Amino acid sequence: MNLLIDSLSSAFQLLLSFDEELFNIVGVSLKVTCASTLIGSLCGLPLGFWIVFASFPGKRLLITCLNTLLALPTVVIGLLVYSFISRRGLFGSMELLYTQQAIIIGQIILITPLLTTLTIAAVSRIDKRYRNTALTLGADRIQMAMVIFWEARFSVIAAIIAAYGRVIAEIGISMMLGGNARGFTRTMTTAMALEYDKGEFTLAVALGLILMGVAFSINMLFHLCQGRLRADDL
Amino acid sequence: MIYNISHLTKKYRKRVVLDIKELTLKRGRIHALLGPNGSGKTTLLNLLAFLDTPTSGTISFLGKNIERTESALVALRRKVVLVDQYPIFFSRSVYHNLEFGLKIRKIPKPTRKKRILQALELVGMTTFSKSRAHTLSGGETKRAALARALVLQPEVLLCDEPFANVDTENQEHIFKILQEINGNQKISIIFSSHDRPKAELLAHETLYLNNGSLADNRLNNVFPSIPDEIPGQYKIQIAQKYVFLKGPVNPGGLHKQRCCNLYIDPEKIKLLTHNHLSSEPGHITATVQEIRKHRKGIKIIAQSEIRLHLHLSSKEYRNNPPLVGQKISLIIAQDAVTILPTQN
Repeated sequence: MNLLIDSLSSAFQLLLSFDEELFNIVGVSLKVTCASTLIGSLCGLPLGFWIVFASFPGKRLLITCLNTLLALPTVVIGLLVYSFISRRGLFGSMELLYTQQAIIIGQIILITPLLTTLTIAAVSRIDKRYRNTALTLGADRIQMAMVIFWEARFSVIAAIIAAYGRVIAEIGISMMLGGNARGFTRTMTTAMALEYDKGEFTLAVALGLILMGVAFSINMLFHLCQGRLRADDL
Repeated sequence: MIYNISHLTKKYRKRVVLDIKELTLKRGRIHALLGPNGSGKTTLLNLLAFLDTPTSGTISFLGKNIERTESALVALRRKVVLVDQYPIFFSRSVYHNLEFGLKIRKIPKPTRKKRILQALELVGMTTFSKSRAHTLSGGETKRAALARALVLQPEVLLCDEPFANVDTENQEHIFKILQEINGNQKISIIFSSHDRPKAELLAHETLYLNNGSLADNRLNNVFPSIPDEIPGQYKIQIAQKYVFLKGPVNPGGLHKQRCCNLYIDPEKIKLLTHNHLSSEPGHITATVQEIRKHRKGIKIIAQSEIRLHLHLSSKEYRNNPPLVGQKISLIIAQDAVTILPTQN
C-alpha cells in the first residue's frame, strides 16, 4: 500500500515540478503513438472496408491470417523490422534503426491487422439494406462506403481506441527499434522498464500512473468525438 | 417500352430463383408483380433496380442494353429508384435522408430544399422534416421512403410490397400517392404485392410470378375440373359440383376424365337481368357477395357452387345494377372458358 501511495505522490511531484525529461518522454510517446495510430488507421480502415465489399478467392483465408496476426508478439515485430532496417538489412542505408520512425513503422505493423479485423467486424454488422439504399439513391462505391462508414462510426472509433491502447502500452517494439535513447526514443513504457531495472520502483509506478492518465485523456477525447457525432445525427 | 427482358435467369448457388423468358414493361404504366413468398418478386425488382446482376439473359432499359460497368450502372441507378419492403434510413434526420440523393447529384442547395419540401408535402410529412428518421412509425417510414425516392424525380419507381406492414389508413395514403405520381408526373411504377385487389385496382397490368417464372396471372376464376363429354354439351365437374356448358369448350385441350385447370374469363361472363333466374346449360345462378370498382369498370364477386369474378363496364352496370345478397343468373359464353395448360 505504501508503494502505491509513494508512487502517487511521486507522480504528482513529477508533474508539478514540470520535469523537462518527463515531459520529453510523454511527448515522444504521444508523438509516435498518434502517428502510428493515424497511419495504421489510414491503412487498416480502407483495407477492412475493401475486404468486406470485394469478392475474391482466398478471402476467408486472408481474414484468418489477419486474425492470427492479432496474436503477433511485439518482440517478433521488433525482430522482423530490425532485420530490414539494421545496417545489414534491405533498408539499412536509410538509417532508421533507433529512431522514432522505426518505432512508428513497428507499431503500424502491430495495429494494422487489429484495425482491419475490427473494421471488418464493424462493417459486416451493418445492415445490407444501407448499402442497397445508398446505391439505389444513386451513390457510387465511394459514396456508398462513406454511408456505411457513417453508420459504423461508433464501432470504427472503438477500433481506433483499441488500437491506440495497444500502441501506447507496448514496449517490445519501442525498446528493440527505438533503443530507449534518452531525449530521442525514450517512451513511457521503455522509461518504466529502465526505472524497474534500476530498482526505482516508485518512479516506475509513477510513470505507469502518468501513462494511465494520458491514455484516459486520449480516450476522453475519442468519447467526446463520439458524443459530437451523436449530436450531429440531427 | 421501359424494360425489355429476354431469357433472364438468376441463380443463387445452384438454385434458380428467377427464370423469365420474355417480358416487356411499358413506359408510364403501373405494373403489379404478384406471387407467393419466394416466387422471385424481390429478386426481379433488385435486377430492375440494377442492384443485382443476372446470371444470364439480358435486360434492356429504354431500348438500350445494359452495360455492366460501374459508371454506367451508377448512371442507370440515377433513373430508377427502389423503395424496399422494409425501408432503412441513415441515422440522421428525415430532411438529411431526403437530401442524400440530391447532394450526390450535385443539385444546388436552394433547389434541394424546394424539392425536399415538395416531396414531404406530397406524402403528408412536412412536419417530420427535422425528426430523426429512426423514430418514425412503420407507415411514416414507408411514406418517408417514398418521398426520398420521389425527390429524385426518377423515371421508374420500384416498390417492394408498398402496402405490407402498414395500417389501412397508410395503405390508402400510399395508394393515392402512387396513383398521383403516375398520373401527374408520368413516373412508371413497378410494385410487388400480396394484396391482389389493391394491386388490380392500382395497376394497369399485373404479372404473376410463381417459382421464379412468369405464370398465368389468371388466379381468379380458375377451377380444377374434370371435363366429361355428353352428347350436345359439355359437363364440367368443379369442386364436386357440375357446371354445364353449352357446346365444345376447347376440344383439342380436353381429355376425358383427366383433371385440368379451367379458366373462365371475367370479361365474358354476361349478367342476365336479375329477375330472370335460369338453369339452362351454361347458365349459373349465384348470389352477389361483393361489388367494387375495378379499373374503369365494376367487379362483381358472385358465389354459386363456385366463386366467380365478373367484370362489367360502367354502362353495363348502370343498365342492370345488382345488389349485394341478390340472386343473379350468369351466362358463361362458349368462348369464355379456356383449358389452361397443365404444369406437369
